This record gives sequence, structure tokens and C-alpha cells, in this order.
Amino acid sequence: MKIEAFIKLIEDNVDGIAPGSLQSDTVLTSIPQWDSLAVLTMLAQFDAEYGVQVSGTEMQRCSTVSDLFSTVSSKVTKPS
Amino acid sequence: MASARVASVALRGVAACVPRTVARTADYAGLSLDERLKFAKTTGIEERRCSLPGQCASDYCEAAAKRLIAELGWNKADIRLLVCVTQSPDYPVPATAVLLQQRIGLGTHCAAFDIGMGCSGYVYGLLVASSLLGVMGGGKALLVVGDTSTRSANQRDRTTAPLFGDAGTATALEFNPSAPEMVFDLNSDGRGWEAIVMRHGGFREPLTADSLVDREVAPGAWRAPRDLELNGIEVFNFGLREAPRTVEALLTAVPGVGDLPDFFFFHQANMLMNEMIRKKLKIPAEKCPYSLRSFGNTSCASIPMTMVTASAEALRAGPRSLVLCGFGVGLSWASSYVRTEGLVCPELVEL
Repeated sequence: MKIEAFIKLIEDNVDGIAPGSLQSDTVLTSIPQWDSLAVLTMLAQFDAEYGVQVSGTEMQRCSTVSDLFSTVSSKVTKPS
Repeated sequence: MASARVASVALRGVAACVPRTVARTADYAGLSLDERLKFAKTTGIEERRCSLPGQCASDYCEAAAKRLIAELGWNKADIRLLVCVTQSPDYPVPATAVLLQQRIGLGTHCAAFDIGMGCSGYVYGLLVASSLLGVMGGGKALLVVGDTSTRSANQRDRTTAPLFGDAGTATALEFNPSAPEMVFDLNSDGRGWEAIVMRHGGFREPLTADSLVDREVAPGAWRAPRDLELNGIEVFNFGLREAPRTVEALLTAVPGVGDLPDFFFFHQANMLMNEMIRKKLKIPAEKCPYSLRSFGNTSCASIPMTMVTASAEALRAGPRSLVLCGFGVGLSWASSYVRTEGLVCPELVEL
């Protein structure tokens, strides 16, 4: 799993985020489009693309794009 | 997973009733104009029906049941069983089904009781009513299923209110030894009880003055402890995980299902979640009808609502094989495989 592809997945699926505007250290809550619908949209994408589920508590612990990437990728490599 | 089979009972008809009052997502004051567009696009919900003060779920169930009985030409004296699935009873006591026994005009020889279930409740109710009718060994049964979730959710709670609409439905079951077997798969997980909850108003947390005081629980979202509370992320993950599993388990239990069933009627949660479930199960879009757009999430009524508002013509036309799948509050989830033969399916009733 590469972080570049992960960032592209977010940019492609959350309406209104310009391609190339996200960095790994972007704080999720600083993204104007990162609302509850965006979160659900990405949960659906993580499930479809990587076959993983991220809980609400895990989501809350993620501050940056990179944190979210680590959470998702740790589940891909260690399936529960 | 609990599985069950019911023989000798036919699903004969389904009817539904909604309040006339339409609430449009485009007019919902709790969301900005931009948010309203995004909400409609993601959830697929453009309109929903809201009950007026004084209207109860049982009023819609009653109207649907009367319409269905008339359309079937049933003699009310043959109806031996009335099961009501609701989480919006007229009164905490007595059971709404017993009130409806009288209001629909059924005889006192009719057994009547409630089941307090939500989004999985239609499938649970179908198993309870059909298996009980099978044990009775003759006659007819009514399953009425409905909720007024717009009165459970706080209309100032932007995270919950715009999802829900009100509806009541009626389903007709008939004892018939040559009816094809119904197959069921049922599940529950109380660890998720807080994912969808009304905290105050039962006996664990009785109603006090404080139960009715609104708090800002998230930016711009207000609700009181007696209001419906929904943990969107947990419910979303749950539905995506369990709905495909129960349908897969169900279809494994149906001998010779061969070609896919004609229709899959899922609980109408929201378009994003339902479409994910559909794609996971590789169900063609045309086999998976929706009522979300015009009626929103109608709780336990969503499956019969979709049958009536999206597929009535096809269901009336001839033999059909159906998969019904409900999932939600509890947490609870269930699915059923049912075959119908020219289902009696009157037009949607409005009250």
C-alpha cells in the first residue's frame, strides 16, 4: 500500500478536494470538505478498495492523512 | 446465525400508507444549501413524509391493512393473528396490535401482540407471524409494520433527522399447504446497543424534565436524551459487514436457488451504504429497488414500502422470488427468501 495512492483515493472520492492539494501531514479537520458524509464516503472506499473497516474511535485518533493511512494500512497487512 | 424454515404459509399481499406531509431535503434548515445538495447526493434522500401531531404509526398501519383486506376480498373473520412490529407504539401499555385488532375490525378470536424491533423488524415479524400461522394450521394473518421516526428524532439534529420518514404497512399471510417454503436467517449483537438508541423514557432511564432539554451534541446538531441518537460510523460499518453476510448465508440455505432471485429488497438506510452492500453481493442494479429518494429511511417499514412504491407492478404480474434483508437497531439483522405468486399490492395510501 502506497500513501500516494491512498491520498489519490481521498481526492478522487471526496467532492471538492482539488487533486494534489492533500499532503501526508495535512490535518484532516483542516480540510473544509472533511465532514461526516466525507468520512462515511471514505469508510466505504476503504472497505471496497482494501477490505478493511475503521471504527469511529480509530477514526477520532487520526489527526493527519498520514495517521489515517497508517490505521488503514496496518489492517491490510494484519487482517483481523 | 439462527436459520429457520416455514412451510404451508403464503405471502399474499403487501400494502403501505404514508402521511401526506412532504419534507424536502432541499428545505431542511439544519443544513447549509451546499450541505443539502451533498446530503441528497450521498444518501439518495430527496424527500420524506412526516406525520402530523396526533398521527401515529398505527394509523398508517390501520389504513394499509384495511386497504389490503379490501383488495384481497378477505373475510375479516378468517384473520386469526395480528402481529405489530413498531418502536412507535400508541401507548407504552397496552400493545398497539391489540388496539389495531379493534380498529381494523377483527374478531376477538384473533391473537394480537407487538414486537419491538426496528430496521430488522420486518423480517423478524414475517418469521413470527408466518410460523405461528403455520402452527395454527389454517386461516389468515396480518403483519403490520411501521414507525414514526420523525417524532423520535429531534428535527434540530442535523446528523439524524433528515434521514428518516414515517410509514405504516400491512402484509397478508395465508395458510396454504402447497405454498413454497420461506427461509430465514436471523442474528443479533447487543454489544452494539448504543449505536442506535433513545436513552431516556424506558425504565432504565425514566423520563424526567431533563430528558426533554436539547443539548448541542455536535456543531449545529441539537438533541435531548429522549431523542433518537445514531452513531453513523458504527452503523455504517455494521451494515456493510453484516448485510452481505446474512444474505450469503441465506442463499446457501436455499436449495437450487440457481439463478439469482428476481428482487432483493434491502432495508433503506442510505444510498451510499445500500449501494456498497449491493456491489459486495454483485447484485445487478435492476434487481435492487429503492424507496429512499421519496421516502427516506422508514425504519421497519422500509422493505414493504419499497415493494409497494418501487416494484408493485412487477410483483403483481406473476411468480417472483424475493430476498428481504433488514439490519439496524439492536444491533439486529436478518434476511428471508420468499416466493410470491401474483402478489396483491394496492397503490400507496396517503393519510
